[in-house]
Order: sequence, then structure tokens, then C-alpha cells
Amino acid sequence: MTSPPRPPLPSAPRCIAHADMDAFYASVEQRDDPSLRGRPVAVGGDGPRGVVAAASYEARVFGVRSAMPSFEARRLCPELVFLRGHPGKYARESRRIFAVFGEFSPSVEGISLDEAFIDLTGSRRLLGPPAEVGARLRERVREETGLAVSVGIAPVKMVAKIASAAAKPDGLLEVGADEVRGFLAPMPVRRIWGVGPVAERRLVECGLRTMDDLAKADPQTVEQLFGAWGTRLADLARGEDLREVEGRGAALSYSEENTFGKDVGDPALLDATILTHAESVARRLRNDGVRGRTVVLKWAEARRRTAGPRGYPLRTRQVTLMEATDDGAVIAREARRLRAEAGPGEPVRLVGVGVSGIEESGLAQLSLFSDGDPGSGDGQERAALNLALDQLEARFGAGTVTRGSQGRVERAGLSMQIKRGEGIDDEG
Amino acid sequence: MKLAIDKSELLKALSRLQAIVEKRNSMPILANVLLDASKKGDKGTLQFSATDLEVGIRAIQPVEVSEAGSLTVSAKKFFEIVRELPDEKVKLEATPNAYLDIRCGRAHFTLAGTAAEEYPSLPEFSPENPVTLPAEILSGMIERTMYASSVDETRYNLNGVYFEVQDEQAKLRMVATDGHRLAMVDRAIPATADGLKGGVIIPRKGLAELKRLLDEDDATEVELAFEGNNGMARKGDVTLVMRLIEGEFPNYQQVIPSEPGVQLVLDTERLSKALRRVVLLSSERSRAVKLEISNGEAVVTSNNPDLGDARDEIDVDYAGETLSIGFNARYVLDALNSLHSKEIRLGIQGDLSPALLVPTNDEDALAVVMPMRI
Repeated sequence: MTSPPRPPLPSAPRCIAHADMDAFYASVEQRDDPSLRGRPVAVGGDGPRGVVAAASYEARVFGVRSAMPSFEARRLCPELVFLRGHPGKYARESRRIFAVFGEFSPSVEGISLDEAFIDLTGSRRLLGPPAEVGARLRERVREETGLAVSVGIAPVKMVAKIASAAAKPDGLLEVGADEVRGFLAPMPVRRIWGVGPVAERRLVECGLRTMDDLAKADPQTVEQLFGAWGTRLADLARGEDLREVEGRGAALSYSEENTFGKDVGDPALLDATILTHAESVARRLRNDGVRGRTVVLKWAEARRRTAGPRGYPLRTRQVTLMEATDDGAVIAREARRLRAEAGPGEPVRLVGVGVSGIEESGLAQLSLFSDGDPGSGDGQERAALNLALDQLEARFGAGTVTRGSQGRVERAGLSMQIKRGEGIDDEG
Repeated sequence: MKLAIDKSELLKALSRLQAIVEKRNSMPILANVLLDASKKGDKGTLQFSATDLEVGIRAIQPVEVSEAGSLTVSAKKFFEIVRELPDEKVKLEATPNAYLDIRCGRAHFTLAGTAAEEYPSLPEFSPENPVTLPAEILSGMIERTMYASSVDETRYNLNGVYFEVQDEQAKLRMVATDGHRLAMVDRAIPATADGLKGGVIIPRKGLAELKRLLDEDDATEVELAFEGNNGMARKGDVTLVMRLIEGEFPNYQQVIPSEPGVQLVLDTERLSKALRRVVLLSSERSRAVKLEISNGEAVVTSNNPDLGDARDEIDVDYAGETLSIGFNARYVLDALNSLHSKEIRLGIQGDLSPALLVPTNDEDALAVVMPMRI
């Protein structure tokens, strides 16, 4: 069997930095409260279902990790300081950090609030050798925020990300084009993007434990095992990947969801939570200067169906509007309608609201038939109100203004997501 | 089944149903044409049927039938074969194992088929009081509206043209919109259309087939009827049946500007050319162009940070304050192309309100285009 010719690599190797804040939420808390410095700190939900969102390095010594159930973290580290955290503050810090990233390249791909790919390929002539640029970037972030960021630099996105993890804490690691193979070779296949526990087990069963094993494996074996995807995995194991840094505008969807401390079946409570999420998603849309046309309601049923972390069935319902919106009231209205007409018939443990079908706001095709809520003024009045609210929040912080019907619900965990063109499907 | 038919007649019948047969592979037999030969005394007929379950067509041809029977074969392959045959009588015969034996001149094909029993039945629909309408009028109405309907399947109620009979008048109305633009046309018809129940949405595909039928050389009149969720159009021996779109058409009247606003009379060709030039440098996706109207002049511009700027100017009879409005050039061009008038009157209410285009030679047709915020 002959494999199709691989596209030639670009003549000049690319230079991609992956910047990842060290224990972001926990570091922000330690920065702002000196009494927390030097102590094990975790930020996350503290209810029975809460999970750790971030752990300080002092806590990691005890084995506390992000995504670990909070009760387990407490067991491992009894003196752990557990904080609910300040999502608004993290979002504000995130904007400052991304502004710094933007000083180094026009092409910045945000993966989450505290991590991004930065394409330095074009900046080399302007700014100097990559390692120096990376060092300057780390300095600038510390200057601006007082926080530590680790940076990995490599010709390939995945390698840059692995390098930044290897550089932690508070470090920098550059992997040159000729060092990529050697750098990846001893790593377990699990570190490859897209390889989860199931794929890992199958690879190991075939004797492919390390990236080097996979890189050298017979292409036919790999293809038989996983089809075309297998070929791609082997490419990744060799450090060959042409995926570009996707700058802003490539966002496909914005969403926010939370897990409840206790299962919720009360429609009024669900609607209140939906409004909170809708307003938050809308604000992020407006911040990014985009609108979305499709509103998605997501929930997880409280009744466990199978064992394991995916045992609670996730459901989504969506509706496409006549005109793209960045108005929380419109998003909430549609999401609530989905909830009422096609939503969960039983209690849920998680609810989320998302918006997809993203387009730029500036150049908007107006619609003949309005989606505006007749009860709350027309589109232009709503836009003015939203602008005023955004300015208040920017000055005084998140949560300054809430709607009368917006709920204060006990939330075990809150997660904000932006999905972009090509999914980065590892677990960060 | 055994019969003989002129090649030209066979070709015409098969070409007519090419657009209807199912191209997706959801139900393979829908890619076939159902042939059904029957014989009464010494008169024989061959019926051709095709359907995608939404739209169906049935045509009856007088032919020499020596043995009645039926069979289905690939409509596309059969058509391709017949197209290449010599201009002679074509002899068709169904073999016992469901092949169609095709002989013409010295050419001979056996085409694999499927038994007729497996073919889904077309909606059986023979309305009592069809209304007879002039083909040319109906065709013109479709042409002036269909382009504005939506191809977005999530807006299924806009995936067709709204058809209604104006109360107590011998007048038909068609309206189409995709949510961003709208097209409407009214036409007087020779007789009253009382027999037609109005207020139905005819799907795009059905309309396209109807238009094809109306534009055939021998078409002068067509019978039209609606009943329940079905529509029927009949022209001579050809019957088109279609499933109407279930759903509510939006309140289109409220979005047609009722105030004249600023009125400009523009040369259609001049404006079309300006738009076609300027759109070249607007973004592929939005096709945004800006129209700026000041004393005696309309300026069409576009700009694209990656490509550059474009500008064209048109003389207009206008005196007043400068107006500026953005459009998707495609929407305006579609309207200009379909309105068939040397000049059009453009009515502008404001940069965020719908703009009205009316041909100066035809007060009963119009297009509405919603602007872009630029």
C-alpha cells in the first residue's frame, strides 16, 4: 500500500510559542492575599460534587491536581485552603495577559482564559531569536500582572504545548526543529493530541508505548488500527503537523455551563441559571465583537446511566435565529423556550447555554423580521443598554449589575469555553 | 411490457423528470423512472412517473403497446442511453427478470431494473375544480419571486414561495423571502380564481419543476389546484404533484415600506454594472457595498483590508442631504435582474430600514432589501 504524498513543509520552519499561566486561579488569589502565599491553595467548587479548577504548586506537592474531586483534594492535603474563586477577576486578568501576548504577534489563539498559542514566525526578524522573545514575553506578563507564565517554543503547536508543560513552573523551553524527534521520542503516546485512555490502551496492546515506537511503527499497522486518524497520530508522534495558529475570528462557539451542588428540577431555578449563563455568554460575544445565530441549551441528566465520568447523559437542543445576536435577553429567551418545549423532563445536574454560528458584528446583514423581544424595547435600545452594562462591569467588576430574575444558585463548578476551528482535544 | 415509441418523444419525457429523481442515496428506487404501459382496445399509452416523495411528475404518451406491463429503471442511465440512440423507433421490452430490453436501429441494450411493485406510489390527487391559468403569467411570477426564497433548511417555512389569491379579485400574489430580502408580485388573471384556495407555501423544487413545465414550447395554459397539503399542476398529459410546505409564512406586509421615503430613479443596467464592478473588492462572504447619495450623484464603494478599494459613480436626479446605506450587492443584483425594467425606483427610509425597489414599468412587482450595518 502506498501512502499519499505528504504536503511539503513550509520552507522556513515556523516558530510557535505556547504560553500557559502557572496555577492561574490560585496564583491570582495568592497575589491578592499575601496570607495565602506559601500555603497550599485550591480554587474550585467546594460542594460534594465540586472539582478542583486550579491548585497552587504548594498544593501539588500533596498530589492535588486540577479536575480532581474536591473531597479527594482535602483528603490528600488536610491544610488545603479551599477557595470558591472570583471568575470575574480571572476574566479581567486574562484580558490583560492576552493584551501582552498581542504585543508579540498579531496571531494569538486563545485556548482558555490562561493559555494561548502565539505565532512568532513572522516576529523573528522584528524581535530577535525565539528564546529571547519568549523570555521577554514572560517578563512582560510578570510586569503587567505579577503572575508567572511558562512558555514552550517549537515549530509545531503540539510540541510547543508539551514544551511549556515541561518548562513549568515559571520556566521557558525551546525545542528547535532538529530537536523535535529526540524531545518527543521517550514520551508516552498518551501525550499526543487526541489520544485518550481507550486509544492509549489499544496502542500499548500493539507494543506502541512511546512516541518513538509510534513514529517508527509500520504505517500499515497504524492505519489498520485507527484508519486515517492513525496516520495522523504517527505524524504527530514524529512532530509533523501543519496546523496553524488560529487567530481571533475563528471562534465557532461560545458557551458557559455549571454543575449544580444539588440536582435541580425546578423550572424557575433552571431559567434563572439559564439567564445568568446567557448574559455571560452575550458579554463575551460583545467583548470579542461577534454575534451568533444559533442558541444551544445543554444539560446533563441527574440519573446516572453508565459508570465512569460520562455516565450522566448529556443532551443538547438548539434553535437558529433569523438574525445573529449578542443580546443576553434574546439568548436567554430562546434557551428558556428550548427548556420549556424540548428540555429535560427530569432533574439535571448540569446546565449550560451556548451560541454558535458566529459572525463579525461590525458588518451585519440586518433582518427584515425582528427577533427582538417586544417586551424589552427594540434592538437599538437593547444595544445601548448592553453597552452601558458592559462599561459598568469593566469599571467595577463582574456581578456589579444583575437582572432581577437572574438567580443566585449554588454552583459546584463553572466552566467557560470558546471552541475554535480545529479542536484541541487534550485535557490541558 | 412491450412497446414502441419515437426516440424524440421518449427523450423529451425522460429529460423532463431528470431534475426530480432523487440524487441522494436514501432510497435507491427513487433514482428510477416508473414505466407503465397499458392498452385499451388498439390504443396504447405509456406513463412515466418519477418522485422524490416531495415532488412527483406523471406524463402519459400515446404509444404502440403490444403487451401491457410495468418496470422501473435508472432514470439517468435510461436518459443517457436514449440520448445516444439513432432517430428511429425505440422498442422497449421488459424481460421476466426485470431487465429493460432497449432496441433501436442496430443498437441493443439490456438495462437492469427493479420491479414496479417496489416503487412508492405518487400522491393520488385529482382535485375537483382546478383553475386554468395562462402559463406565461405564472412563469413570470415565479421568476420574479423564487430567487428570494431561503435555501437554509432551518427556515423551512421560507423554503418556498407564498401563493395567495387576492380577495374577490381575479388577482394572484406570490411572495418569497429569506429573512433578508423579499420579492412580491401581483398579477391579474383572465378569470376568477375562486377555485384556488390561497395562502399556501409552494416548495422551491416544486416551483422549479412547474416553471420548467410552463416554459416548454407548447405551454399556453396550466391547470392549478391546492388541496390539504398537496398542490397539483397539469399541462395536457403531464401532471405535477407536490407536497406543500407546512408552516406559517411570516407577516410579509409589515416589512414592505409603506412610506415613499427618499425616491431615486436609477438606470437598471447602470446600477447593475456599478454593483458588479464594486463587489469585486468586497469580502466574499458579506458582499457588502456602500451606496452614498448626495446632490446629483450616487457613489457605490467597497473596501477590503486585504484587497483594496473600489468606487463607481452614477448620475442621479437628487437634491438633499447626503445619505449613506450598506447592502449585500448580491441581494440588490438579484432584485434588479428579476424585475425586468429599464429603470427602477429605489425608495430609502434610512440606513437601518428596508429599502424598496419597484420597476418603473410595472407597479405590481417589487423587491425589498434589508441593508447591512457597515
